[in-house]
Amino acid sequence: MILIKDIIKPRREILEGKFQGVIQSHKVDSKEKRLESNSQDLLSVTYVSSALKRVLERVNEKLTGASNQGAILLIGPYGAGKTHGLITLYHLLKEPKIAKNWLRNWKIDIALPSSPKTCIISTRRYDVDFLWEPIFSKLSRKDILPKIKRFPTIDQIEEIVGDETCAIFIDEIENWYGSFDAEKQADLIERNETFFEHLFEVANDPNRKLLVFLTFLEEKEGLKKVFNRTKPVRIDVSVTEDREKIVLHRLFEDADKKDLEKIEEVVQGYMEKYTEPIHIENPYNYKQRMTETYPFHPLLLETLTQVYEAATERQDIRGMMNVLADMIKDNYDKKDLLLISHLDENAFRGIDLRLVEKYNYDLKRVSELAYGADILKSILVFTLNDKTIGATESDVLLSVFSPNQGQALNALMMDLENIYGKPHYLHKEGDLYLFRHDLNIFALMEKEKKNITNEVIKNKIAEITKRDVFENRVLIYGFESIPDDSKIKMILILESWGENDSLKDNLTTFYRGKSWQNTYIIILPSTDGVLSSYEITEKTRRILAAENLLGQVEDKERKIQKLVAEERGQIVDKIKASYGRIVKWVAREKELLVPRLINVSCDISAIREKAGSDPSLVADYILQEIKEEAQGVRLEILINDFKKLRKFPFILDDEAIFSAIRNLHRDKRLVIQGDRGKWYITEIPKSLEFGFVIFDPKYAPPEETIEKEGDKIREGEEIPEEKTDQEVKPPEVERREKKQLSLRGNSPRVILSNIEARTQSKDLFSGIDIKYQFARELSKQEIMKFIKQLPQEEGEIEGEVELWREHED
Amino acid sequence: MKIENTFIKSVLREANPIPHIWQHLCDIWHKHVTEDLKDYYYHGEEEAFLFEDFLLKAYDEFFSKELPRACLNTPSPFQSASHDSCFVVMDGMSIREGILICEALKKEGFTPRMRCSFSAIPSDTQSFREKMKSDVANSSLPAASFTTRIGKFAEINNPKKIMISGKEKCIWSHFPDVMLDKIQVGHTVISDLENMYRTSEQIVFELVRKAHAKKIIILSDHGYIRFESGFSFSLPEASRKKLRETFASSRFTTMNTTDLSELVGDGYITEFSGYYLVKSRYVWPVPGKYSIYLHGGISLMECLTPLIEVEK
Repeated sequence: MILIKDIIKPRREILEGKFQGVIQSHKVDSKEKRLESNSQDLLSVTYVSSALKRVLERVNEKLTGASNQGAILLIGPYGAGKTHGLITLYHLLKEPKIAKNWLRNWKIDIALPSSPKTCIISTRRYDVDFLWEPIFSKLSRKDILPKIKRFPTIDQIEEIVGDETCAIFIDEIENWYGSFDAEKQADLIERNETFFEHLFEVANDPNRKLLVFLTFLEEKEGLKKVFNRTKPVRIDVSVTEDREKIVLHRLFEDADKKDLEKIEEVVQGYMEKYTEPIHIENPYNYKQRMTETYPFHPLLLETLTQVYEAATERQDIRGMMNVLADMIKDNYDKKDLLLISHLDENAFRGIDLRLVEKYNYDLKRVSELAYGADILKSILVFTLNDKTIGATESDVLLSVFSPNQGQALNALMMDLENIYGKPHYLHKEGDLYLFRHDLNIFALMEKEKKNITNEVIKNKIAEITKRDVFENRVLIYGFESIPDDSKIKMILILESWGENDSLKDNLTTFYRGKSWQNTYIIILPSTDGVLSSYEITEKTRRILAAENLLGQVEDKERKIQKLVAEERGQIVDKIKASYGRIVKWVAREKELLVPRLINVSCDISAIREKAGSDPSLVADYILQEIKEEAQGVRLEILINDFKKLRKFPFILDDEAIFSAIRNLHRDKRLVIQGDRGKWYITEIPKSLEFGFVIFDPKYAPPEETIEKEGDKIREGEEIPEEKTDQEVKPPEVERREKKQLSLRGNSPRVILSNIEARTQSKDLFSGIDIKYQFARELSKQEIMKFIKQLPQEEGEIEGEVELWREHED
Repeated sequence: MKIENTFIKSVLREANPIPHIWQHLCDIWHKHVTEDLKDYYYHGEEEAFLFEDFLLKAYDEFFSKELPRACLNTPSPFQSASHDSCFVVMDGMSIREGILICEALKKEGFTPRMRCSFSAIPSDTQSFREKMKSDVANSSLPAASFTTRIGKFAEINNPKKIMISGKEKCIWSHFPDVMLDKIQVGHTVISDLENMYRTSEQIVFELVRKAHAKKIIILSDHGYIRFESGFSFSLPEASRKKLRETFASSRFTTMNTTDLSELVGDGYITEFSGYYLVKSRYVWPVPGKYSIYLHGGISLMECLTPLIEVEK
């Protein structure tokens, strides 16, 4: 396989890891071995950009008299190459011989003066009050300095320049200028400004061959005003038209002499495999671009350019070259083409540290995907690019896909498809993949949802229905065991039992083998059933996925918990809307019982109340039962019959029978035989016992017998106290109902106000559930203090705390 | 204003003072029912103002306990709905309009009966709707099939185009409330109370005529108090500032957001069921445009609302 090293040779400094990205003007006369101080070396790595060409043309115009203007401002943002340009011009004018060859190589036809006076000043080196002092000194005219009164006059400057060519180079002027105190040093500012004005005047004089080169960020308004008075030439070095060529020239030796045949072979290998979904608008042009930018993929250069252009502090072309230099060093002997995925993400820490950290955090989550890390890195780079904000599928594939190295596009696409939902901070907006600082709960849940089985969902729906909708007062059929005992039970059916025959079949199955058949309140859904509802099952799936995520994800904003609470609330509403109907049994044609469905609202108390029978109906059945029973009917048997046989009216508790018996007794429609055969004909027993027997009044013994029997006092028995009419009171029936009030607020005062408003003075309270959802997380000390100050009251206390614990590792 | 001893005695004697206060308030407005509309609204308000002033000074608990409790705990009239009745909610209709409508119906040959009903807490439309839904949902009365339809109101938005089939069981008229809202300080007056009443009366008559139900129950979600001078109580500057800062142009706020114990102590507001409610006719101006007919607080004219039953 052809590699980059077979086609193009990186500069030695790159391979040695000594790439000098920063060019500093104050190092021009340094004794160290540096690019800045070596004309030959500097010119050899310098590409003649259009901007540099334009400067040289202007120099030529000034020196040939075609133009008056000799002041040239090199403008552009940080890292755009202003200083590099300035030093290049300095060396060209200072070393005319070396310059001549270099200009010839670049086919630039201008004649430079043979021995001009030059001086270069960087304010990084000269912290002076008057900038003319180092300039004049470097031009060997210290003698003028004592003659200067407030500032150098035009005559004095002209005297220094004389009739020869003189070139003055000034770098980093704004930092120096900005360091003056505008109030206290106004005089210094003004004197220096006047110097510049005079200097620029002389540079604009057709009779003087003064060239003044100045790098300028255009940030200082005062200087801008002074410079603009003589309208100096402005050359923007940041214009990007040559950017790629500059980069290639700076990083590779003989960048213009690449082996085109080999490049063609490599590029062809890529282009042939670039198929859908990789989107290339004009394959022919794209191939040309790939050849031009080789060994960089065009998308890499375009994206990096946009990333580094976006903000001045990103160091523009200098920052970009630093990144590329490292990339070349690591890959030139391993790869055939440099792609975005070959970049070192650490280079971007200065651009958005937090986002790079998010990427690093997510790396381990994609470790099982062969291309996971490369895909994530590509998305990170595209996210850092303000122009793209994220990567399309095609962007990612172009950034990672390396067909000549045996990669298959399909495998890459599969990884891209599977990656979403694994990293915590990877988002997708429309067609764009991107990183964000916030957790992508949606994606994580979507992924997690796939792990949730239908069985688990059903169990969860059953749990929510039982706990949140029916207050734990029902038994869920099919999910928990249904006892066969004398207690009243509410049985909740989660799926529709259909109508007519289907309903009957299901009911038959339910009642099969059960003895206490009339103790079940069967609650059916009025719709197709909650387990068949797509909305309910999907929402439950989300809840389960979210709950699974809780332990795995660092969710400082408690987004997941909020989502679970919200979804749970919605599920509860949906379930409530699905209920309900209860089954009532109607006797038809003697023994035949048919089920009748009664609509009920989804409220457990209302359902219970609706299931109960009318007291008069209960009374009628009791009368029916004792009508032909000369021996009477024992209460225990009567109650058991009511609970065992569905032909009887449904009773919610034994009290329904007792109450009916008391009323019937009061109306003289039955009589009661109590303990030891005591008859209650007109008198009502204090309480009714299961052992008592009730009779139709026609089977009651005559009154006299009762009195006699009643008079008999057996041995060992106590004489019953005589009771007055007033003392014979009906047994007390509890006439109160249990209520639950939900209270909400952010202070005890609000809760108190609710209790005050919504309860009555005679209400008795048996318990209170209080849940504190703290607005901020409490420390252990704080929670202990909180619990200590809870009120002391006799009774059981139950509690549950919710806490976050850091992993041991 | 003279308050009869008999009235004071009955209020003190009875466990529930509301029927007596309701009756007294109705009597005040009845006295002026024969006057022309403008005078009716003016004289009636004058007297009702004095009565409320007396009640606030003499029986503060009525505003801080009795009235809010009745509003919160009295079951909604919808709970006792029967199959042959139709409910018409006139949004914002107060006792003032209730008395007039009752009289107008009598003149048309109906025998309407008016009784006391209540707003919710706070006395606004949203709270009324919530209370109505919750009351109906908790109702065990055999009106279940009817109540399932509660909440689906036919709405009257345009008094000139009342589109109902006649079979509706619940009708919600956005009048008179929408017209009251348009009468604002700093606004061109595009409506007035007389105009508002006439529109409301026209709506009621048309609904009574069109509805098929045997019994039509006309009720209201809340009444209103008037901001104009002479009909409202003034406040000390400091309290006014504090109220303006906290309530702005509203008459209630939740207790969750702020602690106003000081204003409660001063007697201008009361805390109840998680809300701070402005008592009686205490009002304060706010910058910009605002309605001069207010509701949301706890006063006789906001919270005691008319319920008129008309048999066809």
